[in-house]
Amino acid sequence: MHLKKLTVKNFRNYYNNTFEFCNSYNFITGANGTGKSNILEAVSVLSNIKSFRNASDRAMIKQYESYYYINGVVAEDTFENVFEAAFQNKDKIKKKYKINNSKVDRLIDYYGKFITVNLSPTDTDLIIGEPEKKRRYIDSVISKIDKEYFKKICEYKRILNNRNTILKSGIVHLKNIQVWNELLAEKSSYIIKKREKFLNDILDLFANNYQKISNENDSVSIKYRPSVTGETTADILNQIENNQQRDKRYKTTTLGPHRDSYSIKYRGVDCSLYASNGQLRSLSIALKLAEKNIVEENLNKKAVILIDDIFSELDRLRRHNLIRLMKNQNQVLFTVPTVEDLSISDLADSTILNLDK
Amino acid sequence: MASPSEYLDALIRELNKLPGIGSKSAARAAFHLLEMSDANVKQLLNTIIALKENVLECSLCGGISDTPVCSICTDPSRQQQTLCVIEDKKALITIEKTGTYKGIYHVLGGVISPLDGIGPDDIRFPQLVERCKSESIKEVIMATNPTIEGDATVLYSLKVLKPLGIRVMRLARGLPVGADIDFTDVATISKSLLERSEVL
Ligand SMILES: Nc1ncnc2c1ncn2[C@@H]1O[C@H](COP(=O)(O)OP(=O)(O)OP(=O)(O)O)[C@@H](O)[C@H]1O
Ligand SMILES: [Mg+2]
Ligand SMILES: [Zn+2]
Repeated sequence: MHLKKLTVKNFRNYYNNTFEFCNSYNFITGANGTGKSNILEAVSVLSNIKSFRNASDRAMIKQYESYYYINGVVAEDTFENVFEAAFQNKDKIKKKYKINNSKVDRLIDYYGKFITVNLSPTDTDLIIGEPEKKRRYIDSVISKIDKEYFKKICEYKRILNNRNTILKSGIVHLKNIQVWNELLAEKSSYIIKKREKFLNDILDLFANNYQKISNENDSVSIKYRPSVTGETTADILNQIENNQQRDKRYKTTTLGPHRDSYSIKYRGVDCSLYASNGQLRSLSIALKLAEKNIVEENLNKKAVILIDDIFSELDRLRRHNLIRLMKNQNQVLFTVPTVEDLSISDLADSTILNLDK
Repeated sequence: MASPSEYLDALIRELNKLPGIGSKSAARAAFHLLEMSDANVKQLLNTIIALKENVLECSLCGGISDTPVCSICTDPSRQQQTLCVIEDKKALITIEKTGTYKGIYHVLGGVISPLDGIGPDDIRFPQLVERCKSESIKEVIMATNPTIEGDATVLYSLKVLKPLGIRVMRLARGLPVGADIDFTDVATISKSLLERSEVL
């Protein structure tokens, strides 16, 4: 699939603008602060519901305005689909999504239809960042390819909130908490299995991509670190129940998939210890490309790739490798300050969108 | 936008408070009332007042009733061993429409939801336990909505009622997830009532 046309209204620094893109490489150029990343952000909101910069919807509304609106025409095979996202912050807060002019009520029916993969400077958080960021990342990717997982994650959060409310109240009746233990164990068992499988599936792709980007033969690996383990729901329930006294003391649920993480090793050592900045960058690119491989294989369509800033940060070899990995396969939107330091071959068949006045 | 009449605006505002009535339908209904004969308007008003003055809550099942105990609870042809537990009074009407259910009811008036500060004692759960102890009930069918809190209520009932020797069943999952019993069509409900399964 590729994005043909993007219209943004009251989004960040844009009042009402339309951009057209070609189906191969698009370089968005301009001085700092001209609104390059904002364009990618609008595309990420349209595709992923959330900003890749993790900004709130409110922050994305143009200053002094009360709503934003994004419209994208996406070509897929012989079809064209129109995606729309709007957020209003007046009287009532309202967020609306439409596909081909009909309103989509449940996010689950919207998410994963227009697929993008974004590469941005904060991706190193997925290699060495907080467990919460890692969890949110794998949940967002699995949810894209597996609707049932999306649903189960939402249900899990609701169960967790209910259980924590009981713990927080300090009045914990046995039968009362048992109900929530059982519900929690059932969803945990499902979520853990799915995460385990996903990280297993991504492992080889990740290692492979790392090699292709860096031309290094060093071993890289990714390992799931679940908070509870167990073959069956009963095993997990057992651990949750054994942990109940501790939960009561801390007045919150201290065990479960909401405490999971994964760790990435480079040459057999945790990345947070030895990896250089450039290596972290390459590792994060390898992970994002593995995401692209898995999402494309499962949904059987090509993702649109959004590359913010990191391109200019890579050395010539790695930049060339990255380009080669996507060439003739995907539409890519890059942001770069200028195209002057790109090689002619990188620029062949590409569109340049210059935002400088 | 205000009309030239304060009275009309006031009525539109009141009607607008009713569920399923937006401002457009409220305005339509208000204009219609304005054109109706005095006699018809009075009849409508009296019907509403009579509803408020006469409809009671059945002291047994908690459903609506014109008498202290409702016509379902006193109907000798109803099976007194089977009790269907529902979230609200409205759900009873929906299930009755299917015509397949021959037992009696118990209205909980909510579900267990810690997030909303609702525990078993804040709904008609103690009354349910009492009925299971004092009446000839052998089987309880939990027909709460298929939400997380609905599920929690089913599990809780199982924990409390099973030790009393009661079979606890739940509606078969013919109901779409997230569906409200009130919005589900009659055919789906009667199918899931027939296919109810025991909660383990
Ligand atoms: N909510 C908003 N309302 C109006 N303007 C905004 C809003 N949010 C950001 N901006 C403006 O958008 C610009 C930043 O845009 P963006 O981040 O896309 O820049 P960029 O071209 O990617 O720059 P760089 O090269 O530094 O990454 C700034 O000028 C900022 O003032
Ligand atoms: Mg930028
Ligand atoms: Zn009754």
